Amino acid sequence: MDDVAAPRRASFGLSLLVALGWYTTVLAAVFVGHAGIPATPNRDCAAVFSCMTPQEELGLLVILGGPILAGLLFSTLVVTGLLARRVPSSILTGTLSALGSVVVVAVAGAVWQGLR
Amino acid sequence: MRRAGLGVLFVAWLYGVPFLLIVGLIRRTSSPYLATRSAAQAFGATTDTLLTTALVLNLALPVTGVLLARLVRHRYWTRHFGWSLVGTVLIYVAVSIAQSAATAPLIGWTPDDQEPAPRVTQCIPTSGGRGCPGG
Repeated sequence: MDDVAAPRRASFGLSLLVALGWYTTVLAAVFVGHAGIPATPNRDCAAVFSCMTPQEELGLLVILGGPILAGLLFSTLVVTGLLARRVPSSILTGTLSALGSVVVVAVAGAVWQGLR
Repeated sequence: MRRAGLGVLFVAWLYGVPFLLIVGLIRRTSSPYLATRSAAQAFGATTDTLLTTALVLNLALPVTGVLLARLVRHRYWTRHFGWSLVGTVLIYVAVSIAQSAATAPLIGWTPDDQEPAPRVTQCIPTSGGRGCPGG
């Protein structure tokens, strides 16, 4: 009963979920990794943003990274839509789509920096 | 039920291994402030555990998945776990590149600590050898 024939096309929703899972995993890992590092005491905290708790850093990331995140999500939607028709596995589609979107956003960022 | 179990195993590999690797590599490349030598050793040991667990699970989870999926004759998951072994190899290649870029070994490294070097405060005279000032 469990032996369901594999669908030929990836499911769009499931692929999107896999890609979002990748972003969540990487962000959570970076957050957990940084939170576990003991910081130097007696730091000079006079300058703005010089001594932030991980929570404050996350808040700043959400504000400043908002446009990047929005671009990443938009790019993920497009790439997933393109790949889902061709790749038979949702997991592979989502993973490739997350990778591809990061590349697209990185290239777009580099071009934008170059044009400025 | 079987399907859900295999799915959980796959997701554990797909997201769990990169998660542990990223956390471990961030700790490994950081320069933490550690007041004592034992704190530095504890920090290094935790980092080693994270990286070792990630590397072991990277192979163990897909192999277990392939065997289980074949045992219950689940075609979808047999195919996915079979292909996930390619991902296993890719992760090992990525880690070995990181290893070759690092000057110290990735696993078995202890960060520097801030403990001052012990100062010699006592003079012990040795017979026929050195004498001590004042006696």
